[in-house]
Amino acid sequence: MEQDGTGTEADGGAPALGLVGLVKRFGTTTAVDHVDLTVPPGLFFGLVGPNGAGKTTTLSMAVGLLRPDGGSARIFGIDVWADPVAAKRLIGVLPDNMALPERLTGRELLTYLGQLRGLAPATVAARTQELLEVLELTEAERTLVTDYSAGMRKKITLATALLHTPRLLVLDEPFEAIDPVSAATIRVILQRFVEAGGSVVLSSHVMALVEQLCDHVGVIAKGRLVASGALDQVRGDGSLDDAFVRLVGARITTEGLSWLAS
Amino acid sequence: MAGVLTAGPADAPAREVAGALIGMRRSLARNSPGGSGTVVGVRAVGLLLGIGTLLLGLVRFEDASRMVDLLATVGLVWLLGWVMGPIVVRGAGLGLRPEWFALLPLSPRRLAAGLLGASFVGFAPAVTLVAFAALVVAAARLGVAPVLVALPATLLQLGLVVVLSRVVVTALGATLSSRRGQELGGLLTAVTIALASGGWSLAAVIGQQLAAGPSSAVATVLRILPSGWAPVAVAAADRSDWPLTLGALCGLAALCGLLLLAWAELLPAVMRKPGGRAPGMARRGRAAAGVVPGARSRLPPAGPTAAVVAKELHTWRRDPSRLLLLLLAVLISGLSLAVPAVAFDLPAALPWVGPAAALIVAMGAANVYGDEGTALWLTRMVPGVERADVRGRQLAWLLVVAPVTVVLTVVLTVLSGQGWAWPWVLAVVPAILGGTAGLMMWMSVARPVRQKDPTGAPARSTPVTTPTPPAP
Repeated sequence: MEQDGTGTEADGGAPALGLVGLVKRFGTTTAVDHVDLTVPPGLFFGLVGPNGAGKTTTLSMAVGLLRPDGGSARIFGIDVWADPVAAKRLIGVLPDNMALPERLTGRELLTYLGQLRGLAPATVAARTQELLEVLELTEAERTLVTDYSAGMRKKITLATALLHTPRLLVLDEPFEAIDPVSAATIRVILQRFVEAGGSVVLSSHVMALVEQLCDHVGVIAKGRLVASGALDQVRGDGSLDDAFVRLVGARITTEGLSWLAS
Repeated sequence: MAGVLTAGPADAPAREVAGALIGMRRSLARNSPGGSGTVVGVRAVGLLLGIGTLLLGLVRFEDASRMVDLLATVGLVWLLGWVMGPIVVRGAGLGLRPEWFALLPLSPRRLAAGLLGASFVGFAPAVTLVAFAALVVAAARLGVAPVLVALPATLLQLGLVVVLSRVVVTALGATLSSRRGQELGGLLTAVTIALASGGWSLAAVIGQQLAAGPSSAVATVLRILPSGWAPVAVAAADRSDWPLTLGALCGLAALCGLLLLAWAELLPAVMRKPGGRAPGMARRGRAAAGVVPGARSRLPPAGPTAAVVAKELHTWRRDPSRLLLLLLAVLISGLSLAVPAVAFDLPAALPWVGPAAALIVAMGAANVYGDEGTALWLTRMVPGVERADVRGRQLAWLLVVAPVTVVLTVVLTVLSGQGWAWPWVLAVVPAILGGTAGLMMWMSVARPVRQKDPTGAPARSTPVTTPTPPAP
């Protein structure tokens, strides 16, 4: 995919995503506890962690959707919370399970969004058509977003993230509820995006998928980043699954339910 | 504990089934949103209504037909409450859904008996019985025979409302928990709110009609509807009109029986297709809201504000909750101002129907960001569009509400013949439209009330930050 983003010289070697001491508290629970994370440009980065580990909260703060209680988030060197407008030009976001303008068709949604982003009408029309075709949403031309299936919602949200050719994609659980065929399509899109120089940060709790896609991973547990680095570095000799269980400190329960087999 | 899974009983005894179902219903009520405080509040109101209706039985009438008018009216109100209640108060208000038990090793008949038993136990049937006992109290003044008729008539009337409510809930079943059901619930809620706030004018008109005597159309309709059959039977017994007494009682019993049969027919069908359409499941080529003719070819005029206006106009046209808001506003202002203006000859009220409707829509629309759940994330991710979003929403609001307001105001002011009102309405209408367009957005940003996502995703602990609006 072609890159519109300019200014590669200006930001020099700034990381695509840089989080420093990010903190978020909800009441008495600390959802994100001083997370430091650096994702260099051109990487396919996977953030893994158990449910409730703080992945979504971290990513929401990183892209400017949730104000942190402490720390900073930078996109290509631009502070997201000090200069959100400049930062948001560079990123495309796919949040997990959030609402959309429900009473629009997929095409209408992309068209209005393109206009809001100030793209030329011809560009919007061409990109919308292409995105709908690639993501196989043209058949549902007359379906409102509210009537979309979970997988279709993911795909149209991904389209909103790609429309303005961002330099960094931040995707929260992009493969959840997606059928294998659509998942393969999305995988190819993301791989091509990275090959063309883009950066991707995605969160998931499906280890096999992260192992297959990402070259760098970060493991988050109980709001803390417990490991981060190249995939081989983090998983060591075993699989990412084993490394994950070791890092997260999970205990697999094997006792109880003795009556079930008797 | 060995053997529990392999040698379970084939069918639990009927009493245990009913007991478990009643316990389940109590837990559902206890865990319903709002908690026990809300339940206590609702019950206190219910009890007051029940006792209030019972006391109506003490009202002294010159002839029994006036008693029939009164009790048939309140009977109809209670019946509507039983039918509409579960649709308006969704979720726990639906009670026990048969499809939850589809996988249990229970015969449909045993389950049906248990569910029916559970329907008659609880606070709502008890309060309704208290209310319907007004008939017995009223009959006591008439004599022994009317009381003897009133006792079974009261029980049959209770049976009628409970079983009718079950039939409606089961028939609507899966629909009620779906988006369509929410839309239907929204419509009924709107009508209920409109009646609660403006219904006094209708009550006054009906009262006028009833005062005109038993031959009036309203009185006839009240007697023909099944909710009026119990008082009709009692009044007939007082006149020793035994064929009518027996006919009304048998009619009630037969209707209960027919409804029970219908329910028994519906039950297995509902249990075979649990849940109906799963939320979020795609449905293509929907006739109503889903089809967007010309959406492909039409490109809106350029510019961020124009994009927001176009998006909002689409939403106003396609979102039933927004259409309901318009309907509600016109209904309330019509009931509160237009009906009395016509019925009681007060033409000075007519020019104000339009401005009142605009005010009511503004009140309902003053939570534009909260109403969309988490959808704000998308706007937040587009840099620098806050002003365009606020202005676009205001413009779209004016494009929708201003024509309705202006047409209502001009037409009704002309019809009222109140020439003096022109300068007033010409000043007030623009002031209300402009003022509410600003206030509405200010309220939406300053005091957003976060609603559940339309897709059913629960409100989450990570709130999306609200935008900073330009000064209105």
